[in-house]
Amino acid sequence: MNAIRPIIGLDDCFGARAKAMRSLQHRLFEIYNDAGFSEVIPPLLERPDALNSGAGSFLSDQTLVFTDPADAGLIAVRPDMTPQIARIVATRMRHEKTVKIHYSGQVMLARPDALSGSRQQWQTGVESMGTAGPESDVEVMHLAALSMAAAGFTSPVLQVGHIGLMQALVGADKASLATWVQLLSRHSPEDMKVYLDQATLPKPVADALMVLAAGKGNVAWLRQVKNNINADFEAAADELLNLADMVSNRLSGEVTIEVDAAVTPRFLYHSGVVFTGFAMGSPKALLHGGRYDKMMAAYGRDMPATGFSFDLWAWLDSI
Amino acid sequence: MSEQAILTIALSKGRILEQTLPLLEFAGLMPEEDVQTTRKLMVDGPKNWFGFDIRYLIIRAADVCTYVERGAADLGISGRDLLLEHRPHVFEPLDLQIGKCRLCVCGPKEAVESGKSAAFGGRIRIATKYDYLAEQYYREQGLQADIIHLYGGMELAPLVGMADRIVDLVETGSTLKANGLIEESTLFDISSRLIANPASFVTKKEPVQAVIDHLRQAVKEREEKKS
Repeated sequence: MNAIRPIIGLDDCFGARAKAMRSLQHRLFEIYNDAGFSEVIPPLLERPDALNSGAGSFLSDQTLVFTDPADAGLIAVRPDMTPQIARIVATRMRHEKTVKIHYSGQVMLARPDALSGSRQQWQTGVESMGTAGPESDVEVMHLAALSMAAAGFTSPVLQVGHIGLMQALVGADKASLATWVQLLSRHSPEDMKVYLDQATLPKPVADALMVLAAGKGNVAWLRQVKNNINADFEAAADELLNLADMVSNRLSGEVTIEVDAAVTPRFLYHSGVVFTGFAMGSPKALLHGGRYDKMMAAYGRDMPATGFSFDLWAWLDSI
Repeated sequence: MSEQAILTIALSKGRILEQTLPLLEFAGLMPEEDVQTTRKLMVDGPKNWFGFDIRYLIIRAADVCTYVERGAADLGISGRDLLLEHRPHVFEPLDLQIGKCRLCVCGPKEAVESGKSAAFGGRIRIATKYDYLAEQYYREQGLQADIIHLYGGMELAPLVGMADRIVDLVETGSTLKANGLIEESTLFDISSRLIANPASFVTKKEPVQAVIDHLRQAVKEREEKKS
């Protein structure tokens, strides 16, 4: 009987759920294909080194590794497809100046997610590489909005921020960006104040971090303070405000755009605009995305890039 | 937003609620019936409050973060001890400054005053209901702790020789004193916090922010009255 016990965090899917999942996947593929994005299907397994560098370093402790009898080396099950996409674009697609791709495949984490108990995700995403500037950000955000609409989510919201804002605020502090992002993630002004009282940040920076912790880093606030902090902050704020204007105009009626300077990415490999998707009635963020111009260099091809991804299983559970 | 839109707030019965009700009253958020005595688990609040009908869930204190994390409630009131122990993915936008106490390591008076390490030559045995926080604390001290999970009455464990120390909430210290224990160190200052589901913070921004702002004002007024 031991053989039929389910493996921790893994599940079968059939019947209506399987049908719903394939039908949603099909609708999404049509949207991405129509927009000129083509599919990439990487293998389930990779060398651990290829998965653990660059974008993969944030999930290296979630990688399941075993010995490959055919190759006499170690082999790993992917916990994230992003490093594979980066590898393919940096090597096999290196002759293409711009690359627009989408992908959808199963990934597996070494440990179950604390909330869902699941170790499997059906990671689906879109990446546009080789073009800098807001046009490609608007393009992928549009696809993110279309994806949420195609899945049937009500009142979708894209919350937009810029990682450059936090970098400009705390870059000079001795505590790392990751420490500050972690602190900010609880949105507790009281905790932020305790931490700021011990740190030695200039007053305008400390004030700005308190506003971010209170969730009030909106457009009006950014316009008001952007010149008072430093040149990097101003540049990031200008980029964000400009993009927010563009997407609000372009995507009006499709999705609500909320600017919040406190939006931070799921993993800290982003370098510019970052965004998170939400919808009424869904208790968790539906998708994460943004610009990661510096990450591709880790794979040997320095090129601008922007995109987003999400878990199809989580979407099916949220609709 | 349609009138049927609902904003759900999770509360728990007891002493914390007693101190929370005046804040809700000040904020214009009073439940329609006495939540301390009702047997109902779901109680209505004000209608059309910033376009939303308020609904209260009356649940166990330890369950509040679960309801909020999973989106069954948009907001809730939870002790900081539970937030630190269970680390739910929720926002903590306001400290209500009620239910104040401290999470402490305590031990038998003589053992603590002797200043000797309780773990000399072996593991330290800790009775607690805060397994994660106790283990983390001793790990940072370079000690492997033997965590003995208890559901209450921690003070007894050192008396019967089952544990060397306890990690528990201390308010006045009278229970400790009655059992011959004293504080060794404080891990965290504890109070009750308003918590919010991160998605509700975005999708129901206006009413959620209004609850936070109104309650912040209520806390401020009360603190000013005190001083």
